Amino acid sequence: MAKFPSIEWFKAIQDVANGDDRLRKLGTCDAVMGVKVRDKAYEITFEAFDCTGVREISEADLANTDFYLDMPYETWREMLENIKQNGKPDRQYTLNTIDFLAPEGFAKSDDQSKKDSFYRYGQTFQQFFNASAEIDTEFAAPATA
Amino acid sequence: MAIDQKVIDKLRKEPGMPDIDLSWLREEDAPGIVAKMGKRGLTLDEINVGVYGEVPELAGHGTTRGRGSAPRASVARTAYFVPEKSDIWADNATLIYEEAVQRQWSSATDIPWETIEPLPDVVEEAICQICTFLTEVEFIAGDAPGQWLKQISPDHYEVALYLISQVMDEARHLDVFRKRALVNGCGLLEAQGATRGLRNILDAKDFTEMSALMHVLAEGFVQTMFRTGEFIAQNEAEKTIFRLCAQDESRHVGFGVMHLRYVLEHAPERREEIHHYLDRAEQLFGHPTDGINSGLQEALLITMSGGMKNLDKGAELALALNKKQANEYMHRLEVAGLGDRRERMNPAFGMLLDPPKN
Repeated sequence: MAKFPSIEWFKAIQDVANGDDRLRKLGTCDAVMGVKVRDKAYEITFEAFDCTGVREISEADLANTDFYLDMPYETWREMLENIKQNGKPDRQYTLNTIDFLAPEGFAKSDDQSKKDSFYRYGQTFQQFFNASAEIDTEFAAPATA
Repeated sequence: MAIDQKVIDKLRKEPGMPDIDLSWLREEDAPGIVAKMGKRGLTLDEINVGVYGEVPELAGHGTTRGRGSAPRASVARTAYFVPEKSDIWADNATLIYEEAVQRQWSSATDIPWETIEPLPDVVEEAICQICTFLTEVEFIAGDAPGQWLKQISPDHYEVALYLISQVMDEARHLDVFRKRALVNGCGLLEAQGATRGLRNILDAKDFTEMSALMHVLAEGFVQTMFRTGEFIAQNEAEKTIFRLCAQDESRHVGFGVMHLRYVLEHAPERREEIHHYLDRAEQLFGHPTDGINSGLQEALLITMSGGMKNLDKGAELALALNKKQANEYMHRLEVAGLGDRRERMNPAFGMLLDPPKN
């Protein structure tokens, strides 16, 4: 059981994703993705055919990623629970749909060209988060802030 | 590997040997290059080393001679290429080409077609109208770069390879939307016709003009529409179609942005000329609600509303789509170095822009 969000949780889905041939078959992916959940920030690196690195970073370091995913904690939880339930998201919870429905967007970057890598490797990132269906996730207590 | 001159001479004088020329063998030292495989395999970047990686600013010959090979005097010219590197180049052409090859997919076998079930008539018809429009758009998106293939010199072959990969992508998009229209009993509906904006892309007489209009403006807009497609998708098949098409389209947009950046950095005197192309394109492309593509707009409205009810909600989402399209277009121009476009953008698009961040 890995707690979301935590470095252990991201490493757990990194292991599942890298161990699944489907990620490799999607083709090369070269991008540094940030993830922001409440006051925590993570950097997930994709290089060639694998997810090659996961680490916790400061919020300020998100500016050094190609783009970062940022949404309310409850939406993260709903998305991950939906993926767990179905093995993949239904249409309301795909990364692209969440991005479309969020007024400020889900993927964020000051550089649109770098942000476009979120869409360019969309299937790879979706596959990465779909890997969370293979692990048991413990969610943190409801936010107080 | 250098060829020893003594070996060549010996071969030429060998008793009993037929009269052979052997002039194709290098008599001077060969570059001695051994390309090494990287994490992504043996990619173009790995073989673009030494003299083979030196891309000339001007392609001075009109033959099919590959970059790094030795010229032969009697070779006939085969084409009139665009000679200037700055007229066609993008620094990410190799990366995007390799990525395109790696991330190919098949509309026949990679789409879970079996997940498509009967839909309410109006929703099915709306989806088929969108597919009808997209088959036309993708046909043009394949035609436009195809027109330029024969004008890319082998000295700048990376760009030609990228364009070929784009033509393949567009072929697959055309076929996947045609298949979707035909797979559930509705079929293709009303042709939207090549609007003036799309016709303008086909008529471009300059590569940068074509790229700015197609890759940056038109495909940027279509990429946003594809991403939205996952929301209007009714099943896993449609979700997959739109996601995979959005990936492909993002590569095309990425090439266009980097080409525009390259031009503006290496031929800054072309800035006003490029603005002129965009002035005209934005005017012709028209505002998404100007009625040129009323079939498409109404179909999007219905799918975003989930049917004929809640059309207000659909209209709200359609406006959100238009805003994303306009803002992302502007942000890409900023990345390319054309941030001053904001002040002269066609009002139809300009009114949708968020205030600048700085």
